[in-house]
Amino acid sequence: MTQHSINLGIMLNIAVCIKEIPEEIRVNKKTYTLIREGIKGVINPCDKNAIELSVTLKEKHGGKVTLISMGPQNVEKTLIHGLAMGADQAVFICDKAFAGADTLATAFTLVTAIKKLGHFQLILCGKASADSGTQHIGPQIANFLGITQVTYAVGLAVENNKVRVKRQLMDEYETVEVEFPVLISVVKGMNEPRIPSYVDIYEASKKDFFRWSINDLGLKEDQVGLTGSPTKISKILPPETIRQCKMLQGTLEEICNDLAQILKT
Amino acid sequence: MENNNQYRGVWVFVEHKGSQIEKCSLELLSLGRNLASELQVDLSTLVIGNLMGRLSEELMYYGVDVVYVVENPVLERYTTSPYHKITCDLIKEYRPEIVLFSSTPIGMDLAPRVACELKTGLVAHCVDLKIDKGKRQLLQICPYGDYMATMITTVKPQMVTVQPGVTPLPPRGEFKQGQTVQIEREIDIGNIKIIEVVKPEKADMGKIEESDVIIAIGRGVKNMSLAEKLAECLGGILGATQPIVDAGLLPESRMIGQTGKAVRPKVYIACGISGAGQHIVGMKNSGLIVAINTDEKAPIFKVADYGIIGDVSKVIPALIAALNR
Ligand SMILES: Cc1cc2nc3c(=O)[nH]c(=O)nc-3n(C[C@H](O)[C@H](O)[C@H](O)COP(=O)(O)OP(=O)(O)OC[C@H]3O[C@@H](n4cnc5c(N)ncnc54)[C@H](O)[C@@H]3O)c2cc1C
Ligand SMILES: Nc1ncnc2c1ncn2[C@@H]1O[C@H](COP(=O)(O)O)[C@@H](O)[C@H]1O
Repeated sequence: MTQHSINLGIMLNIAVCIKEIPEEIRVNKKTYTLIREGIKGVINPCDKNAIELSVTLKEKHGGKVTLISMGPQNVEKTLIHGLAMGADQAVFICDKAFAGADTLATAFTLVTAIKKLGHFQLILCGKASADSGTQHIGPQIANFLGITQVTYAVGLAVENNKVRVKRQLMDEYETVEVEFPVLISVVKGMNEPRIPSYVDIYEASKKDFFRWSINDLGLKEDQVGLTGSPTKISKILPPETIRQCKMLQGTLEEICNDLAQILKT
Repeated sequence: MENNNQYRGVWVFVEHKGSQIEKCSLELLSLGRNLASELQVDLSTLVIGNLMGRLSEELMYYGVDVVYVVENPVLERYTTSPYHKITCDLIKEYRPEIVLFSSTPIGMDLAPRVACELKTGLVAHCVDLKIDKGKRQLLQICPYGDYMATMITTVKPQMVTVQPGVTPLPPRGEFKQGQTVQIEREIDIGNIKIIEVVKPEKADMGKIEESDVIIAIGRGVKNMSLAEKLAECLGGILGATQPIVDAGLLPESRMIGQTGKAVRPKVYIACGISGAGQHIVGMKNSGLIVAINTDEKAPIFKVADYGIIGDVSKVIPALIAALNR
């Protein structure tokens, strides 16, 4: 595996964590789980930016890009899309033991896979997933690995074995310099993710693709999934009626006259 | 296993800028005060920074029992490593049962990492917090699609990030109360170096929070210029749901809700918006709320004062005409 050599510049070993999300987010009114059946899976938007960033860095500095995704069903298409964008290999983590994982258990499982893969200078992820949107996974992976984290990246450059990252905060941009190894979470729109051609996709299906179960990761059931998760859903309720809504009645003109009166006072 | 009963008290992580307490942290104090009173424990705040004297005094007007302060010139601006180390160390030492952070860039950078280090859970973007007194359990309420979920954490401390802008500000008391505890620490600043901080000159910044009238558009709006005309007519500004912003029709600064902003204008008109939980948290505190939607069952009507069941492309022009009469 490639390691950085100080004099000849760097060969970057990069891991990118990507999540597949349902294209449309709907809750099953009986089980209160996200509906996945019949809804197309897509790459979480900002994770595409993370892949684009990894491939650009590889093109510039040399190195290798590994995609890692944990998911409940076959996310092969999503990973192949990432491979077609230029990643070198993909790891798909799937086991029914992982079901119901909260962010801590998810990060722990991802980190176990990362450690099994070896040493990475750079770990990339998105700022937030569009279906759960916690923003937790990045910082939690960094903490498990005991490495520095930089969140909200909108720009990045590698120079002299250091990484310069521009971060987007509430009402300002902060530029920081960090050393490897580092985890960076990227914001959607930080770059323009390339669109792979049919040939790219065909070639991608020949790249290394690993499927790992709980046994492959050497984990026990009580460390992962719902049992390994300190947070639990206790209740799900429809939203409360907060205000008594008066429905305006009549012809369109009458309704609008009424509303205009209300708005003018 | 550690005994969960050894944990006592409610803590608030305080964010600040230019020696001012951030509004989101004051909001946490109002939630924290209620929780602490229900549990009959102290409400404490954790303040990390440089020269925090005046700010610590100010906190004592908001019903805080203990203000823990860690000061050092290298802590002037937030960076992950030292803030993380200090926060984890103090939580391990003082063992609060509940720790509150804000869902801000700082809170979202810090809280997940702290929770991970302490091997506890973290519930993101809560909009309300309650106590199950019998079980002495924190109920963490957050949006979940069109629904609201109540989450619990089975490990202590129970940690959450709270959506800014959804909790009312607490009243400032007339007298100071409580005490300050100054904590001395060796500080390791880690390997992050801040190179520069710039404020973008974005003309749009902050505008939507200050506007008295917001015309909010959702996927039901096909013609933006109509909505723009209505906004002009009422001296308001356009806001939007996430899909509208994702489609690039309006800048991110106009997004309202969990991922976007919490607003409370005098008048909020929701046009073609279904009313997902993640949107509602950002607008339910507005003054007058009007909703226009073709679907009479749309959840947006549950938070509206007035509703019109109809097609926005017909209602808006008719409303503009009525306003001009
Ligand atoms: C983690 C996470 C965070 C999120 N954060 C946010 C956030 O900050 N802000 C946000 O807004 N969303 C957010 N969302 C998305 C949110 O769940 C909803 O998907 C979104 O708010 C829906 O937007 P909408 O109402 O415009 O679209 P839809 O839900 O598609 O609703 C469109 C509505 O328009 C009505 N309609 C259609 N045609 C017409 C017509 N001609 N005239 C009148 N009405 C019509 C329909 O009846 C429907 O009710 C988030 C989601 C997740 C998972
Ligand atoms: N199941 C998963 N598999 C791989 N990466 C993930 C997974 N869940 C989250 N991530 C990564 O963590 C980021 C933040 O996700 P979240 O904490 O869910 O908002 C995403 O953009 C992904 O990069």
